Amino acid sequence: MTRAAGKSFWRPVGYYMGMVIVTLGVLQIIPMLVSVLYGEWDVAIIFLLTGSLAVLAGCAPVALLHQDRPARIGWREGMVVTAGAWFVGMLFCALPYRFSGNYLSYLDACFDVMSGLTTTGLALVQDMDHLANGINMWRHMLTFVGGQGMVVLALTFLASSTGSAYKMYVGEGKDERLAPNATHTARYIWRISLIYLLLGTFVFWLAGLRLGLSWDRALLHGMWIFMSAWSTGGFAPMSQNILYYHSALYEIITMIFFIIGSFNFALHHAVLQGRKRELVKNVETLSMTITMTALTLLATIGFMQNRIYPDAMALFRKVFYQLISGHTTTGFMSIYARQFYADWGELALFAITVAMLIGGSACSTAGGFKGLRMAIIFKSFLKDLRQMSVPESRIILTKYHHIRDIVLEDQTARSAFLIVTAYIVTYAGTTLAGMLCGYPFSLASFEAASATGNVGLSIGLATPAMPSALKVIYIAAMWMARLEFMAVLALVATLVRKVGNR
Amino acid sequence: MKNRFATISLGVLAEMLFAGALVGIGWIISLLGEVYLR
Repeated sequence: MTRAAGKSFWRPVGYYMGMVIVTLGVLQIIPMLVSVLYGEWDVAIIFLLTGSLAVLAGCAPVALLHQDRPARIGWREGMVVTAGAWFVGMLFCALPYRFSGNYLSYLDACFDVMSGLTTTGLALVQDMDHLANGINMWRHMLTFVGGQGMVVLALTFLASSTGSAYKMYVGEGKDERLAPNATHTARYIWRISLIYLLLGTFVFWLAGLRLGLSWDRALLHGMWIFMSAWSTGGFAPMSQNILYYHSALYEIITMIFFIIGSFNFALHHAVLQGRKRELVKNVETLSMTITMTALTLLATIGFMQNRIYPDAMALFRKVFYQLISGHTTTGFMSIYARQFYADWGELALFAITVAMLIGGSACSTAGGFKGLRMAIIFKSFLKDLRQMSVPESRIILTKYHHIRDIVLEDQTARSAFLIVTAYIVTYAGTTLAGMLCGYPFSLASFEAASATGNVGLSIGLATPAMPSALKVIYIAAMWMARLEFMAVLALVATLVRKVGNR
Repeated sequence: MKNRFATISLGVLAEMLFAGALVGIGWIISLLGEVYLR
């Protein structure tokens, strides 16, 4: 029997969503300070006003519903809080973008916020090369916060009920427990990310100085590029993305950090606690190594046929870079968008589209089906094949190694199949929407894989000129895929049931 | 405390080496591509 969503349902939902909105308002202090430091007074005032509005709007439900909140919330409430907070958070975070004058419409601003929070990296911003430092700080912070999970961030500092916290943590597409409770797990995720933030910013700062950037520009660019790389985001401060730096060194450093960023937080936890062999034993890293090698070979064979790039360095920087950027769902580009269409050819485009759909690791900042699910489906297929070749009375057990040896159960395989099917259906629907808007299949398919996989590589379709309906569909695809469908479906089902009961 | 710092540092180094190895695979495949093109 299903329970209708009454007051007792919406009160905790409003309370926890308020907490997340407050957190997003408080975060705007950082870009405001950057703007003050660079004398961008108009932008600083925008952040002061929009940040205050978010804090007030978030505090109201927290103050009103504080007494009524239950000690624990249910799974449905947890999922609805997460999906709702991501949607309402997008509306609040888009305000500074819209008021900055760098976006043609509020919808474009919302698109960029959802693209940032979901670590996708598709951008509709105008005149990116002359953005205020405060706005650039906000763009990259949204990617960084979205990558670790913004509900996770709010929980780290504000939640007191750990039972409720776990349901929202799962709703955000993460299901590994690194500590006995979700709040400690969330804190651990942030600790790992902050350790790497310090290290990565320092390394990129040195690389920037070597390229001839001034010390403060090298520092800001270094921090922003690291935030994007670690979160597998794909945003960069300049419109040419990574191509702007024209540096093999910069490209190699970004590859190292976005590959590490695409790892499962449970894997980071194990390795940083001294279990280094986990890196070569884990089913996800093995899966990624195999698919990356196979797809790089496929893309390289495609380029052997069309002979666009003449040597190893060009193949490495122009083909492998985009492929690994797509596979880890980062979206950094060292070529122009139109080069995918003009130079890549069908075989290489097929390889990179598959790479974008497979994506990185589960419980990471990456998108896509995830390597863990690919491995589970493959092992499940092998198990069924082996089962067919032995007498019915004999039961075949299959194991895989992810932090520990795990026996593959039918329920695990079923969950993996369901999520991968949901991704494929969303990808097909988004491709169809692009074709209905008049774009050819190759463009619509590539951009749909990029949006659904939360990647950010663009073939040139995602521009401010694309139809508004397609922008809305891409926002929905990015949002659903990042939360791995269940949270958004729970929100939609609850709202539909509420409307139906009226 | 000192041991914990060393364990984390070695862990970070191991992750970087592993990521570097994946980048190395990409470089080897690119080299093979160049050999073919010649």
